[in-house]
Amino acid sequence: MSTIKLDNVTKCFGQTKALDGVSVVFEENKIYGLLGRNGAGKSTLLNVISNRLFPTSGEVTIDGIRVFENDYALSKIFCMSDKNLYPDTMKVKEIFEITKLYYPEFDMNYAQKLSHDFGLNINKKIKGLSTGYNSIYKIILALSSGAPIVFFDEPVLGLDANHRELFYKALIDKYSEKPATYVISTHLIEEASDIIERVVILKEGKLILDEDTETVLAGGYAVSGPATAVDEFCKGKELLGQDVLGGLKTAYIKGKIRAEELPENLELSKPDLQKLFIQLTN
Amino acid sequence: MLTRLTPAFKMHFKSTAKSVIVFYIVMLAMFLLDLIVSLVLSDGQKSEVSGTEVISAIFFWVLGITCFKMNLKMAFANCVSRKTEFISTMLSSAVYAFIMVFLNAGIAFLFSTISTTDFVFDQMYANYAFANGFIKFLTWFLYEFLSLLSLFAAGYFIGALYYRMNKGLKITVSVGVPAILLIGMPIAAGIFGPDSLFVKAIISCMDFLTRTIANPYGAILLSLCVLAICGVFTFLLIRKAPIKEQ
Repeated sequence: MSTIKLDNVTKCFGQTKALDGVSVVFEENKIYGLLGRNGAGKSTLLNVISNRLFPTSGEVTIDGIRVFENDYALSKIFCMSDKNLYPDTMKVKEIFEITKLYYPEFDMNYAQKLSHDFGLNINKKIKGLSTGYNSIYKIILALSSGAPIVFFDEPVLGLDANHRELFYKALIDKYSEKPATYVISTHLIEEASDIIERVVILKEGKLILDEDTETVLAGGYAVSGPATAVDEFCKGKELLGQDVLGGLKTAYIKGKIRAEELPENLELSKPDLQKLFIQLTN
Repeated sequence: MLTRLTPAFKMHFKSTAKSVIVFYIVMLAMFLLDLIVSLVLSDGQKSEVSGTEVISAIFFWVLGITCFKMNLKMAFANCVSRKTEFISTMLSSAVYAFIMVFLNAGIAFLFSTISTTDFVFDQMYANYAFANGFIKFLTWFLYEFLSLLSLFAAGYFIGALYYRMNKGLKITVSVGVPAILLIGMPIAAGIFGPDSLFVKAIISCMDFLTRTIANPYGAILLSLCVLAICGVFTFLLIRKAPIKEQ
């Protein structure tokens, strides 16, 4: 079991409320997308869960055990951070060996295989790695850790398209082979939406959405066409947002629609997760 | 409760090993230099070397200062609790202090073969009457071990203090403390005069310290107190230490 429960967690930095009464449950063996705009509180949330920061109020538990300074609960988590927490002069393979000490389930062979696939030289020192390869070695650590709960905080920072594709594939393969709870905090929503099972969205420190991806996507639709026709169609409906381009308009509407309800000069499409996210957090 | 103490201890022990090895390689290099010098001085003169343990004590103190931030960040990286991090660091430093006592003795012995050299302990307590050889050895060991460990703890405490301070406070302490000690206090002593309470208080403190360390057991007790105080304050600083951007 590896269920994380946050109960009314608030985190303040001076006058700034980074998290405001967040209550959420991360169930075991699911891939979560933790989404939010810059400064929404995503990294703070992950840091609070992994005991790197202390909540101002509220409680975090894993399988009912308080996380606060509890090695047993914390041993279930691996948190891949966008920050560099290892000495610059350390080599990648040394970091693999250190991680193996802390995480006995760490799969060294798999880490070496992934390093080869990503083209990472594990004999290189951290300070000699580019931004992309800095993210890559941390991704490899996270995927190889064997922990039942793995956090990815901006995993694809600096990665090119090929490496991003490789990361998503490796994550899915790993998840299929050995299910675990993965929480991915990312700004590249469109790319990650294919693998995210459940969406958690933060806005200004508050939780505004916690639903299955399928439900979120099924909860709205987009209509596009001439602006006047779209405006006419949207009357009386709950509008999530709209995009205008010259005389054309695309409106994002909450709810369901039957194809026969749509006027002939309008086009119906499903909003993607990124569009819905933008409308929800604007 | 402290389920990750063993891996944390192993990690600290491994990561410190390189620094300690390099230090003693440098010490050996100094010995070789002394050997060359003594060979060059072929008129039978011996060079004088003393206080090699002091160098290792300073090294261990600096190690304490520098390891705090690095160790804490690695603890964050591997989701280790702060108390486990603190205990494992102190345990690994105790093991190294134990090893270094004998390494220092070995280095001093090497130097003694070609130079006139003395342990600081022998220099300070040459006239102290120990009950027997074993008691003297035990006292020497405790003195050396606790000196090293207390200096590491003091350095670790300074490292923790600096980690918890903001930028402004760091600058204030870095500039202020030496300024007070080197400039402020002599000026104050000059202003208040030798018979003032301020000057008398300072002299009393110095007297107390001198009298304490005049006795090897006093020095051991002083080291224990420094270790305990620095340990407690470091734990208080680390227990709520947050992750920082840099």
